[in-house]
Amino acid sequence: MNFRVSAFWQAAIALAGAWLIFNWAFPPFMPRSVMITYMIITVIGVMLYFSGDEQRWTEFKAPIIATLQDENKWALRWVLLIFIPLLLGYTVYDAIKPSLETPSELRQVHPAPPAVLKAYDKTYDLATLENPVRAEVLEQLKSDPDTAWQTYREAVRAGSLVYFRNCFYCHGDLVGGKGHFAKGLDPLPTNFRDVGTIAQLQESFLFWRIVTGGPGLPRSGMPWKSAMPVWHEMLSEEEVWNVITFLYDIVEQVPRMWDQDISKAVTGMKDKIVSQRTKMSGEDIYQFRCAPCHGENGAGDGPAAEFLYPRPRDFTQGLLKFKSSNADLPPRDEDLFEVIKYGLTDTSMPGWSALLTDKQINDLITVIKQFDTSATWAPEDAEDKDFDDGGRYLKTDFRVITEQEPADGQIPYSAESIARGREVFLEECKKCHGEEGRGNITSGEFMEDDWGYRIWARDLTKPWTWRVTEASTESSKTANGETSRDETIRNIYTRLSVGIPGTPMPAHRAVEVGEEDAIKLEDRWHVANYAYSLRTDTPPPGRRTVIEAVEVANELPSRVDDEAWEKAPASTFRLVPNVVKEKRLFTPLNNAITVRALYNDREIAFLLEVNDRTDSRPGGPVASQLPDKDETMYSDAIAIQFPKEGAYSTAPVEKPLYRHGDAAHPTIIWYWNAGSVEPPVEPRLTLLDASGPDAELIKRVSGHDLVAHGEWQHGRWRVLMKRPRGIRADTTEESLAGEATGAPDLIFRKGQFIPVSFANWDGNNGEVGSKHTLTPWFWLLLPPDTDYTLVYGAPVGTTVVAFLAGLMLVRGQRRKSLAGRRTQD
Amino acid sequence: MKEVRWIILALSCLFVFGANLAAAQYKALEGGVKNAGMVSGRITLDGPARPPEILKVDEDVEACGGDRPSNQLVVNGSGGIKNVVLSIENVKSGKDWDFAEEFTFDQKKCTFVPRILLIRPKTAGVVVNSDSVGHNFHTISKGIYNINKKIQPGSKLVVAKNKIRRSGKIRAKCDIHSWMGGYWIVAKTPYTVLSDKDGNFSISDVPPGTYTVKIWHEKLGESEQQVVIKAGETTKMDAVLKL
Repeated sequence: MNFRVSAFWQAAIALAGAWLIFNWAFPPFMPRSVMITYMIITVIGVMLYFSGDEQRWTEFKAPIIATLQDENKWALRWVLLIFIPLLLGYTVYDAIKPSLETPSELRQVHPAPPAVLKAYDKTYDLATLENPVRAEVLEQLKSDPDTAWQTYREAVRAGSLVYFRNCFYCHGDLVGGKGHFAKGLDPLPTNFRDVGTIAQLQESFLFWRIVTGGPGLPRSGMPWKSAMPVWHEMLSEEEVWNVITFLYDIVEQVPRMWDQDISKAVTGMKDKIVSQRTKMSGEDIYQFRCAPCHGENGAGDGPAAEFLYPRPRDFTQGLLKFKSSNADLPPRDEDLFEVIKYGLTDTSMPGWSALLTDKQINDLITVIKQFDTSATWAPEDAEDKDFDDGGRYLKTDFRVITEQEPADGQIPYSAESIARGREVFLEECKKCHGEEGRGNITSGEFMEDDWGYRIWARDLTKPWTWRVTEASTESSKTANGETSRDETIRNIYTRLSVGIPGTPMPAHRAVEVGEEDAIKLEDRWHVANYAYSLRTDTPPPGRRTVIEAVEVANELPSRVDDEAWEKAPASTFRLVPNVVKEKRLFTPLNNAITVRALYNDREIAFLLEVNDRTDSRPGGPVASQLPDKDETMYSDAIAIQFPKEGAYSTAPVEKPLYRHGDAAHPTIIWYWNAGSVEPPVEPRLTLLDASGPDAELIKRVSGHDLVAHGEWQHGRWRVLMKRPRGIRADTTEESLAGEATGAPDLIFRKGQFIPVSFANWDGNNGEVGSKHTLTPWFWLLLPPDTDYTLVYGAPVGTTVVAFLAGLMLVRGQRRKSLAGRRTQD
Repeated sequence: MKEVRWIILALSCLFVFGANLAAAQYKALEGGVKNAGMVSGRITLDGPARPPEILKVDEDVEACGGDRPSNQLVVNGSGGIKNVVLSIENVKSGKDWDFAEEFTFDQKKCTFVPRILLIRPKTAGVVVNSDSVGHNFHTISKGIYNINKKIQPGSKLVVAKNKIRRSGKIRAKCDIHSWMGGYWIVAKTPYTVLSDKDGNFSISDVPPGTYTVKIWHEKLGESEQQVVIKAGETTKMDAVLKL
């Protein structure tokens, strides 16, 4: 059969094909404007092709003319007559409706480096700069390969130490840019494993980026002005070169090099390393991948350990937190496997599935068992001679736990079950997890783990911090909705039944004959249902990047529990510690801030909520027992930061530098401090002028127009801050923000995206001064007034006009056709 | 490189062997110990007796009772220290175990009773809760007996006979009432005793020989003394511990 697609349909297929390619073939997606441009070009191309040849053009036109003229196509004609105008009307509406789309930030992938770089009291020519470590290795390689390899390995080892004490919080264990603080940064840290990053670059480029960090970027790299520290302040030149050498080594890549001979030699070394790595035993993999945190001997004391909370596990004691075996047994191999493969949410333990095969993970389980010195994995009939002096079991017939904690009798998730769960919770769990489940210990007891490190009960309102338990983590193989909810509840139930070894969380199910359950089966399910229900307390971070302020007609609330706040949508942002500027913080406790904003014609008010387990004020009644023994107790504090008027723009996007802005983009910080109980100090309010990472903050303690009020209850600070919008009430004319301060710091205009960031100090965690947590820049928007005549009038008008035009076209064509037919007759 | 490997291998073999010899299990002699001797004495605190630390009770005050003196370091009027653990561990064989077959460890007024429990391996027992509030019974023991279980008022935790198999120290705590503290001492040999409230102790039925006596107190730490035991005689051994 001779099947041929007609010209019109050829054109339609070509256009649809082009659209599909543009939409799907360029990850993650193309900006709308680019898409429109490309499609217009495609349409022009298609039209040119079909109109170029008379016959083709006639063939192309034929179906269109037929639709317009043919007697038997009246139904299709009417459908199109109505549908096309409606589509046009909708397109117009879509284009002019009030948009909350954030300003787009286009980035250069690799901003051009300057010709010269000044650091370490030297001037480097970046065009010719080479890694001296590599140069030395290559020189030695010519005469003495053994020495060359030794030099290389030492540099890599030293670089590894630098990486795991400085870089891995953000760039991660897997060097994939997913360190435990990465989610609290914007832009995200670089993924070195991506072949589009360091493998494309010269080592001098890395040196420049590391040494001068985010602040060292040229103007063209503005959206990349990240939280990357200015490392020459904290690392020596040698350390920087070592860490560069380490990075290429761990990702098994070769830097871009112009000299072919050198590039070949370096590639040769890399190939040798790669072939050695494919033969690694479990023990080798452990030392290569795991030892930086868990230590050479598995005692949880690697070089990175002291910078981590929670601390990396010590494998010598047989105390592993998450298990599905009963309270009296060590974990099952499946538990260890899952933790290694999928990682522990919101900790520095990543999921290793990207780098390790299932077999390698299983080999690691044996290695972990070999580190044990507490006879956890030795068979029951092991004899003393089977252990070495340190208590390690010397054979390999380790116990494999098969018995699984039962999860029978699950009670459906319902309001009644949750209510009963809360009753039991208040009896049994409140002392550590707090009345509202925010992990705020109400007993005032200092809790520590089995190693004597301070530890806190989980905040049950934040499932996005739960390890293993939350079914939406990668390890969950079930579908969404109820199945995953039921699985999460089962996991909570298991934690409650078997406890969390090594921590104060006890088991609540009896195992031995003669014991009775501390919480009986049905009640354990009720508690699990209740714990699940707590997630509605605050929205999780990451959903919104815009704080949408809501306008109110009358006065703004002056209380944190005012009902008016419910009108404003809540945005939650992750807080990560300041690891960019000394003195740095590595082990924060508070990890998120929830923000709401309301405004009227004169003022704008923010409600800031931070789950903080302690009301930390020096001399305070409960909190005074809780600080770490080595830490001084400080006051809790919270702050909002804005760029000053004129110090930001949205097209193109220009924002102040992370943390304190910069000279060209000064910021204003609204700072509230909880004060102290003994000596009695009232909460204090300060405006701080910031103009860069190295500039001292300038305080405006009094005579300003900022108002604030804070309350701590049930493990949460709620702080209200209010200030004039910088616009006079009676007119829309911008005027002074307040008599005392002169020109307004910032005018809060409707329809204007304004950068905003937040900071928090948890006083009992030793947080004071530069030791604090913060968010990157997000957007604040006071939505623009909607012009209803325009928003609805224009689409309706377009539709009507298009319909009339269509009608006239059809009439004209029909007349033509009738006339034609008459002529023929 | 190769030589180093061999040395390490040889050394580890030696260690294993050494451990094997040292860790040989204690054996009870049939028919008791002949020509046995005894060691006794008094453990005192260096310096004047201090009033015990006062523990602040700030949780469940009604059930637990108020603030109380700590029973961690109990010293009598003349300096004798209670609850010092004295043990002769390098006895390979000797008298039969004369320890209780079962133990009861109580939680009364939010205090562990006794403060120091002396048991032998493979002893069954119960941890009871005589209070009107729940406790979480939590041990830290280098794997000898790791447990953390909530025990409700009037309820108990059962320690099966085969649960505790190795000797050593098991620290007991309650995370809800952080002032609660205690130890289970799992003796290596039956020549393990606690000093009484006046600091006196005696270890009997010791085969003649030269031994090391380990002296341990939870707050004062560990020390050692050499003693020579002679048939039919009682060797005096006093010790002064420093805070």
